[in-house]
Amino acid sequence: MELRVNVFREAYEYVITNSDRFLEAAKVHLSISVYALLIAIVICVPLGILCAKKQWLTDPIMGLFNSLRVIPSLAVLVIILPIMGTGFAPALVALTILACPPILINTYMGFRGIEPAIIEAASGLGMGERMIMRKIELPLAAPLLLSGIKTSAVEVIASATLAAFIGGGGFGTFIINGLGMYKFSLLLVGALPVALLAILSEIGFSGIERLVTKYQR
Amino acid sequence: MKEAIVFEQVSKTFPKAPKPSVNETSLSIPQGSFVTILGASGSGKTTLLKMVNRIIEPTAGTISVFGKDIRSLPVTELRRSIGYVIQQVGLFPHLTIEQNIATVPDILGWERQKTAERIDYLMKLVHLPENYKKLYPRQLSGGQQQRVGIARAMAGDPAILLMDEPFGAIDAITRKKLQDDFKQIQQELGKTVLFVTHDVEEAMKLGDQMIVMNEGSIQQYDTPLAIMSNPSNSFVSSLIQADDLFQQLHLIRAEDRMIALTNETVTDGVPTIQGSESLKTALQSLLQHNAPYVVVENDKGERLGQITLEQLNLQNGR
Ligand SMILES: Nc1ncnc2c1ncn2[C@@H]1O[C@H](COP(=O)(O)OP(=O)(O)O)[C@@H](O)[C@H]1O
Ligand SMILES: [Mg+2]
Repeated sequence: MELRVNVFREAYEYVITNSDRFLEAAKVHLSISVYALLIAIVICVPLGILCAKKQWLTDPIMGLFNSLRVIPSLAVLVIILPIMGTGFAPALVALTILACPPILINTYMGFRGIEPAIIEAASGLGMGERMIMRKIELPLAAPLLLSGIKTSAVEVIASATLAAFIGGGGFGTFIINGLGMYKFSLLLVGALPVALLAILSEIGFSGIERLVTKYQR
Repeated sequence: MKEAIVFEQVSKTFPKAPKPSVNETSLSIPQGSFVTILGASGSGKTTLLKMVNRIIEPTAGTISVFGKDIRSLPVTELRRSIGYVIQQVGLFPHLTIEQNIATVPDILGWERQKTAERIDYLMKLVHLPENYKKLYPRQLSGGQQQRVGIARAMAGDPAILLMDEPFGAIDAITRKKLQDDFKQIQQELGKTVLFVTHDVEEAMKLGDQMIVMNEGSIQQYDTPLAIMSNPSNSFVSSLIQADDLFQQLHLIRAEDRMIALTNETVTDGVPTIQGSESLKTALQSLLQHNAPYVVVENDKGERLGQITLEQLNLQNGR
């Protein structure tokens, strides 16, 4: 018991005395996560919609991303290393690749899940294609789409820790150092904020999800 | 009378299909008429209907609505001027009932006040309680949802309504009520209705005119009574006769079949029915009172004619 309290106090003191390093790590960790997520959204939402609408695209693209999903995060990082070297950019690429499958697959499922009769009614009433997308399809696909983004966000925040292994920075740096120095308190300085961030993003996205599914309750 | 919809030599062959789903069809639908399209599954009813609002494009021929080729205006504009109701209803589940009904007014950019008044009017018209406005579609029963579907289709005040088996998924009792209510609405507002069904009774009960289809071709286009008493070929006759006599009686109004009162006719103590009631009612009345005939009256109590067992024998009418 005594030991554990000491470890937390040590971790806290480390953060206080090295606040500039801690804040820098937080900034890098957050920005790399947010960028990866945004890039994945920009690529995968339109791609998922396209897959849902063009039958012939579905199999090749979904197959590719489904297999991507099987590859563990660390493996992606290690594969990127010899291709792009170390630093922020390769870490961002690796995280973006990780963020893609849940968003793509959920976007696809969200759009495919819309009853065809709803779309037929909408066009029968004289809605144009873009209006149907904006007023009908997007809102109806939103719950699944958001849950895909939520999964990606949590995954990216956790995996950004591993990005430190290829020099991407972030909270993972403390963990690597802590492991190297057998210093448990330093490990905590990295691990606790990551866990907190993951939980916060989960809560945040769940809140948005609840808002867009109000009509189902 | 003005023609609302005219088909000229219209055919539709789907890609890779061995034969046309609708074959060189010409017909005209007079303004204000309620025309039902009856036929077995796969006979081309839906294809015929959906070509009117260009959900399906014909491969040959011309369709015009109020004298204008439907290809002469943008497809969205055409559709906003034609109401469309389908069996699956297709309400937007994330929008409230009033938002659903406001779809076309919103597209047309109506002022808020005008739209709100229109919603109130339509909800009353289709017999939906006013407090349903803020509910979501899934909170309503199937029958109520289709009432919303009809209100939504009529929101922009279209002169024409296309309906594809709108009551097909609704239980028998609710369906009967919906049929009665909708028929009344149609008569009140003088809308032109093209209504697909595979239910013989529904087609006869609702339609002023009835189209019988088989394998992409119109077999007969006439009033229900004319089709029933004089089917043009064996297909039509077997489709119609598939239904029992009792049901046929139900579809014929007493005043359409009554014969004149004669001097000998005793009218005192004899059962009477209204001219607008069906022959089924006449038969029930005859059996109940063990009378040789019933007297037919109008709603003012004036005697119009009589019906004997002979008028109830439909085989004689053929
Ligand atoms: N989109 C389509 N592609 C190919 N064939 C179709 C399509 N829609 C309908 N058909 C065919 O056209 C024929 C008529 O169909 P339909 O008009 O739906 O009949 P109904 O509404 O009377 O049941 C059927 O043989 C059906 O298989
Ligand atoms: Mg059909």
